[in-house]
Amino acid sequence: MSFHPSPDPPKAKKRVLIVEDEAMIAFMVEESLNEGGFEVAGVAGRLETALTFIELGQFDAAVLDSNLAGVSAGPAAAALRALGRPFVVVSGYLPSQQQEVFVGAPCIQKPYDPQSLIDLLRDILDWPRLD
Amino acid sequence: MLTEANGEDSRATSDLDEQCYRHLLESIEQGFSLIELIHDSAGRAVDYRFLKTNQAFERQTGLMNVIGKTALEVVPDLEPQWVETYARVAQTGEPFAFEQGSLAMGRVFRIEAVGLDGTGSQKVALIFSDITESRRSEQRLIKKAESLRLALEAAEMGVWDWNFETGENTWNDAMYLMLGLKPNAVPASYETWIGRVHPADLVALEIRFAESLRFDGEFRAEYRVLGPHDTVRWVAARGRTASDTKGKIIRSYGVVTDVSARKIINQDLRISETRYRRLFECAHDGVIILDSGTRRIIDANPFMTNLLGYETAELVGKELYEIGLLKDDAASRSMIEDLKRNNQVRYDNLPLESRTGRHQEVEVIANLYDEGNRPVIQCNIRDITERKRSEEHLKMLMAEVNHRAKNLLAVVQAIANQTAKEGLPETFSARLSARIVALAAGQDLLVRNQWQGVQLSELVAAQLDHFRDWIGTRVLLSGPSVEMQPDAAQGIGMALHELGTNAAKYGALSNGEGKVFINWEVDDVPVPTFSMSWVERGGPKVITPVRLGFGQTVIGRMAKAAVQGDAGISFAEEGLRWSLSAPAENVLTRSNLARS
Repeated sequence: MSFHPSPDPPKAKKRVLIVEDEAMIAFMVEESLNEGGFEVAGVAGRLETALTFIELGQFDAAVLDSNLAGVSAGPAAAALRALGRPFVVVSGYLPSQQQEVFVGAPCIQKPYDPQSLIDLLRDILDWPRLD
Repeated sequence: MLTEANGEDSRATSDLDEQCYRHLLESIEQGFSLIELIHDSAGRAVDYRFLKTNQAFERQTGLMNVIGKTALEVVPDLEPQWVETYARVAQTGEPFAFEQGSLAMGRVFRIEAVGLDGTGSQKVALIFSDITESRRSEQRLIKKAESLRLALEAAEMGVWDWNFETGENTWNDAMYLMLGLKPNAVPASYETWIGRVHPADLVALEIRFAESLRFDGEFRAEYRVLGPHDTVRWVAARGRTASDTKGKIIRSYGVVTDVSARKIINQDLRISETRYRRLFECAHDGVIILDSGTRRIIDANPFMTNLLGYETAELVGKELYEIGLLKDDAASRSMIEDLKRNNQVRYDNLPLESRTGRHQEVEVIANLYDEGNRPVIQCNIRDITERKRSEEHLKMLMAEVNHRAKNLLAVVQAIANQTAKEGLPETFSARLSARIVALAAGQDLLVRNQWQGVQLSELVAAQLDHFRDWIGTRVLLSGPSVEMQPDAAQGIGMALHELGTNAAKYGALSNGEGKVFINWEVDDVPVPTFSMSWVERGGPKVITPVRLGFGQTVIGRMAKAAVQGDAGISFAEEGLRWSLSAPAENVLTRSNLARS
């Protein structure tokens, strides 16, 4: 019996963690991700919640708001880096106003077109962009 | 023979006498002449003839070889009084001495005239002393005194001269005027003088004057007097005392000048110096004065010494680079060059390290100017550490504003997206506007409270503004005073808005009698928990919606996400019921938590 490699299983949906304190925005991001073919792994509105999610590691990438209810999301960025999970920073700050810990990560400015977030996530996960 | 011989003898004796007299006459200082008067036919003396003269005569009168000539031949316009005077001497035989100037000769003589050969003789011997020079110097002295008087008057110098023996006190006019008195209107006296002195200077002045009398010293004083028109003037007095041969002081004399102008200038200078010294001492800028030649510090104010942690004495003599203000000697030289070209140099941002190692940012403005006799550099050093800090703070605040504004735009964007999905395009604009207004109302409350927190009762009132007339009748609130965090306020605020809109459309506020009960409380057991409910009664019969609209999403999920708690909505027939519960720490402000 020869061994035949099985054809690629249908690609599982990539799981994305949303770290966003603004409920309304989180809701919109959630919808956009669902529409963009992702699965939402969780929504964290506070830094502690975000760190708990990251520790559990049940996701492929993250969307990270740089400011969570007045607290810097820097520790979450550091944890994501330590875990080797790609992430997109969304922020109301100008790149020049951005904290050092976020520099280097792909970043989009609020407000943004949900499609550009989807495209960025596909880039960092090495998924082809949807046309 | 003898007789002849005798005659020869006597002639010889006579010759010897003659020689002797001549020698004597030639050796004396005085001019000598022997004259014989000449009379006219009426016997009146009209001229005289020179019989003998000596060399001094020729020297003094300038008249040469006059022997045998008459006076009028020698000096044709000779004044007649000469002849008259000599005639009188000859007549009376009385020797006569007089002083006589001769315009014709341009000289003044003291003349002693002696008649010869007794009374009635026509011969007169004259001894001339030329006193032209001594007369001139007397004249000069008189003139000098006069010009001194004029000078004193011109200089408005008061003069006093007080003779203690006679008791006579003499003042010139200027002295009176200086004391505001009419010249000679009152007797010049010590009392008159003292009576015009400013009371504040009186005692010291009297003591000093008395001392000058006791110790034969100089008298010098500056004091105020009541001058012309009773104005206060400053005067300076300088006097001396004179003593008799036994050493007893018998006179005091001196001059007084008005020195008000100088006093005022000095006073102005002192005031100005005080004023600028105080500025220098109290300035909240560091000030360093440098000698532009040596580049060394001449002075530094207290602010500067505090800034650097050195005493002024330690700074004086140092160069700027030695106190850590400029990098090195070259920098110091280049500053001076710049200053010479532009008169001003400005450094916006120099690091400065104090003696204790404290780092400061300073701004330095250096100016070159002439201080009368030497060019100096004034450096103003301003500590801009605080300014830098506030600039940083401002930058941070602007970043914060930017962040919040963008965040809010993202929220509006999310609301717009959801509103668009939820209903008919025709009503989109109205529905979106209502939600943006609700969002803005929440923002207003936050801004009013400096983004610190919002009273829940205020939040309810703001979001249910449409129904404000029913609050207390159909909209019943109950709960403690609760201050909410900004995020919680925004989430709950949006939920209240959607609940209100729903109640007005389909629920308890859509008919005439329905009521809404809004309750909230904070429980401590088991952990501090905030809970809130919206309960409708008396409205139309409730029908469970088929599809979850955006309103319901907000009411359910938004609020829940905003407070990281639980939210539930039930569509019981008797009325809609919404409830929310969350850890108090996610809802209440820190100060509110601390209070409860």
